[in-house]
Amino acid sequence: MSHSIHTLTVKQIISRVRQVFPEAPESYVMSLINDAITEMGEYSQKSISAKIDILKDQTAYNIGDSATDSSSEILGINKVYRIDILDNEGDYIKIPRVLDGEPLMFDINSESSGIKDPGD
Amino acid sequence: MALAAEITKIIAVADSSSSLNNKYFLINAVNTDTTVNVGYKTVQYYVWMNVGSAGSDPSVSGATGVEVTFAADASAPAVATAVKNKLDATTGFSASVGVGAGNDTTVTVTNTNRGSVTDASDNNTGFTISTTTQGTGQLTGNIKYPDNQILYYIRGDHLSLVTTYSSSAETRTSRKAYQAIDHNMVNGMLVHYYGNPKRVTAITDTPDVDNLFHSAIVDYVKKCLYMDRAGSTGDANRSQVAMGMMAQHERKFNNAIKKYGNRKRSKTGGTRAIVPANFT
Repeated sequence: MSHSIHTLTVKQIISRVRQVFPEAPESYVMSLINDAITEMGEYSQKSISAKIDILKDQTAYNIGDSATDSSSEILGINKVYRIDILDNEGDYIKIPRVLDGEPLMFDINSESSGIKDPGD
Repeated sequence: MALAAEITKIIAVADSSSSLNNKYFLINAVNTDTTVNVGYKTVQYYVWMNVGSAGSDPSVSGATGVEVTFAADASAPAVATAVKNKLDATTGFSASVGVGAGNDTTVTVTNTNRGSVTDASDNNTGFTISTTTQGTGQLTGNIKYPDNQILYYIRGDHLSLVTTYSSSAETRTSRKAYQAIDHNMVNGMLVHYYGNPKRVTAITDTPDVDNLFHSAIVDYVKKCLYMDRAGSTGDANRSQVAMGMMAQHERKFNNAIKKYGNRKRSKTGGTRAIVPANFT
């Protein structure tokens, strides 16, 4: 059984808004729509998976607004909830998260580079 | 430093009375493969010369043939161009040939995808083949049990990976047990996250959120516009009415997104699980 679902385009949203605000500028309404979408993103609506290259001897990987995946697509991460790493058979295996994030030793490429434990 | 794709330089030689017929060289590509998790596989090609249509496929075991055709006694630039045209049309490579005398016998072949591969090598063509950029990145990891040997943590806008694994079986004290992963891996990390929806840029776009929330966007926009009206009008009564309408739309938006948006439905909201109480 096939059925169609109801969606709204930006044009339809603007049309509904202009029922009450006929003078509302299109560009302003569009920026408000983007504000709404951004706010919705805070509430775990969109689940995404992306692949990132692992670089030798690099501890820290950027997940900020400018971060990209291995295909140079912007990630747009709000909250990471799972990480898988490639094993020796080519399968992705889930790894655990350390909540305190305070390993004794940092390497030179970490975000706090330069902090190294003195030798034993 | 990002991972690199392999770049190979091939200097072709001229044919002399079909001397290149049935000769071949080997070159490796990293091709996409939807059947494996990492998404890539290495493929070996043998590039063989069919001179004057008198050749026969050497059928190298375990490799895929790429047939290059040209006439007998073709010049070195003509052979280079024929090789370039074939490799450029082969999945996994882009190729170009140098311009001008002295350069027009050189074919530069760049692998489409990054990753470490076996360097190209000549079998019997007499071409000079060298690797100018070494491809980097393994297509599988070295670590057998990532779940036991790798941890991640997040600090600010950085995600960090540390492992107890050492590819060289280095002896580490417990104090220095956790260090960075010591080998490059193409697509080595699969990150799952809740992400920002894409912004809209044209009036024909459909918002990149579930259709259940599209009408809530209307409420959000109206909320903002009523707030603008309340703040800009000089009429206190009009301002009061606008504030009331603003509150109505804000409530509708909040209910749709914050109060009910994360529950009651299977296709929206975060990961859910029932964790039974542990009475032991």
